[in-house]
Amino acid sequence: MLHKTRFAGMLVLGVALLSASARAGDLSANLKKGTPDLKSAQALAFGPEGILFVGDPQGAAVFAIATGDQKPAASSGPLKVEGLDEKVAAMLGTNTKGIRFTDLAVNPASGNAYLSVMRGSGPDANPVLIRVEHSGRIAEFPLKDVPFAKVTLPNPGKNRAQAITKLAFVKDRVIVAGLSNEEWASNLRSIPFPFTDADKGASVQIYHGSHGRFETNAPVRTFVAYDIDGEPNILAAYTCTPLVRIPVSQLKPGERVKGTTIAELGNRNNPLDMIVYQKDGKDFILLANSSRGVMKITTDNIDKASGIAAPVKDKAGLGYETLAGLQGVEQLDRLDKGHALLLVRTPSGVNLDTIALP
Amino acid sequence: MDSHRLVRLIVVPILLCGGATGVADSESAARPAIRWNAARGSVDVIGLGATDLAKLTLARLDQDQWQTVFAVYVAGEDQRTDRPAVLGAYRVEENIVRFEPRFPLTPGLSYRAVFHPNKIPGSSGTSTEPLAARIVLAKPMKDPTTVEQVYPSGDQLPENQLRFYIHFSGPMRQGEAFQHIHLLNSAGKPMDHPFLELDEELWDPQGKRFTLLFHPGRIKKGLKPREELGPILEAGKRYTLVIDQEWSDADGNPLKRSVRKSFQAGAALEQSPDPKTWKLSPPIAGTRDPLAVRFRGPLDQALLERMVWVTDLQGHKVAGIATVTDHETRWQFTPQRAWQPGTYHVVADTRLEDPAGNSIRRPFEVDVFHPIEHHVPVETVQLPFSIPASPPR
Repeated sequence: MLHKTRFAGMLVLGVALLSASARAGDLSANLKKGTPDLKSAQALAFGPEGILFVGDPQGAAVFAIATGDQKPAASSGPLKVEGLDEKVAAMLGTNTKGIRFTDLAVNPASGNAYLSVMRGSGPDANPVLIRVEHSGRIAEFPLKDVPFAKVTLPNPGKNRAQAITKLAFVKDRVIVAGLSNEEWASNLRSIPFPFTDADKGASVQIYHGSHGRFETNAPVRTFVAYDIDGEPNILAAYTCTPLVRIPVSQLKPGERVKGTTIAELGNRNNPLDMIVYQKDGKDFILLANSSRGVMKITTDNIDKASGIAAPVKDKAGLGYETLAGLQGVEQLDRLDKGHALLLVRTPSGVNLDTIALP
Repeated sequence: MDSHRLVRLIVVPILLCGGATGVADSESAARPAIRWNAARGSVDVIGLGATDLAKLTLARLDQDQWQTVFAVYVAGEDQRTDRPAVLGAYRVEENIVRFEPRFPLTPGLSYRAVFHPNKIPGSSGTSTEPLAARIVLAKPMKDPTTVEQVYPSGDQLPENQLRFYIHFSGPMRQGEAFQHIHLLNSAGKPMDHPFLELDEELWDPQGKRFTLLFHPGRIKKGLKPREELGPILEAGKRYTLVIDQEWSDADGNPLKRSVRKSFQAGAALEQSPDPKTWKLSPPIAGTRDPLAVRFRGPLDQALLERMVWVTDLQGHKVAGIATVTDHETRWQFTPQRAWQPGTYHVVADTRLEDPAGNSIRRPFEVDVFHPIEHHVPVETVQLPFSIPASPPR
């Protein structure tokens, strides 16, 4: 009697262990080894398990690539590289005018920084992924024989292309913000991951209502995932400047999605990148703004803000401050719990710099 | 050899390799040398002895290890020597050590190749002088890139104009657009950041067409930028769009010349284009004369190229070529085969827009307090036309 129960118990335990380990590697399991046919690289985002998502506007596709980079870095502390543009250009056999850094993403599983680089311009341009380790070592992350998956985005028209302004892995899907080079449309696409042939995700039109009155298509130039009261949201910066929040649950086909304005950043604001971080028990948004520098925005009352419907005269919505001395920031991502990694353009070159989260 | 002479007529990149600084002076007859191999696009070390080649083969070096023995560097204009080596693949092939760069070398850029015989694994170190060579590939002679056209092509634009398309004769360098585009007011003064300056520049897949958007924050009503700075264009005033000659093409060369487009702003376009107002001129049966569709005002040039087509009575697309003329107020369709008598439709995707971003489906800005009319929910609009049978002669 006893040994039967023990055996049954071990069987149950064995099954439980099997399914737990299957779940842990689940997301990577759908990725198959090969050489992704990346035609360009414009946006990067990390998912769990060191999976790197790459937005390819030239190929109208999003790739999921298993970097296999899951060991936390041996060293900690600031990651700094001076003259990253000179170094990467030299490694790719050209000068700094021959390359462009298009995005920066830090792998939370390892703390290593990844950059997407376009070498050259036009149809002959080549995408390259570069990894910068904590030690400062710079190497190409080769796209040969890696486990990967690909989902294509619809693209009507031979001259039409959709720039991918931002992508992010949120919960169980990849959210892609795009802006067409032709029609005025505000494309946000929500694609379930793992990718399946059957479901390429839904494209949702995002609208902005100013004064609760004038409703327009509102393309998104960057966004970040943020939970408000336990509900997944995205905080999005529109090209026409308002900062809004949108519940992810609303991103369904057929929904008429209108973001709720939480801040009006105003003219000469070019929001490039946003992260959310915690400090002293509170949440803040760090926003890189090409002309203004870097802004720290509070999230107090973000859930209560029913939106700014009245005309905006002064600083309205969420309180914010511009951090002094941070000019030329082109890319930004969280480095670790207490730091952000910045890609900064200075008169003498492009540097990778670390700042303490303010 | 004068390594600065660029041979103008040769289209294929040639080797200008040679006698600049750092070439080792060797003693023996069959001495190693560094050569640019134009056919393979590789940098080769020739003249190595069999022993050295065997050592290199057996050592199975990885890229980092190879770079200590043999490396190519970008020397550039400043001839700096502290740059990391060019990435690429190393191979011992027959009696040659070959380096194939990861990407083709850039014409016009100066490179330095260095080979250290004394770093060959297991080397006895007899010949300790490194070999060096300077490599510069000739830049092929090309006509400078030009601006072929700017759309809208007319010189009257609505004050809420949303975008321009700038067409170049060849691919342009990306990432520097907004340094080279200016909008001047009627006094000739550059206006303050009138355009949406996106990192992700809006190019077509060929890299030859640039989409320039006016800042939507100043076009849309009720937003902070418009309340702070006002609209960008104002009806009745004149403006000039300037495209600088200094904008580099994909080869790093400036444009042939600067281009200026002068225009006057008129009343804002605030309503959806209405296909019911379009005028169709049906062609004659038996001919391949074009069907012409005239609009009340200009429509968006890029969208006109793919959002309008002709179907026959069965709903099949008629094969032919469409052109946009008369400052984007006229769409013309020439069929592949002669028109047969019958009923046809001009079909327009309702996402077709005018220059201010108003589509057939919905205007750019909908005033929800005073909706002009219900939205057009359909995907396409169909305009019928008939081609009567030609009367018998």
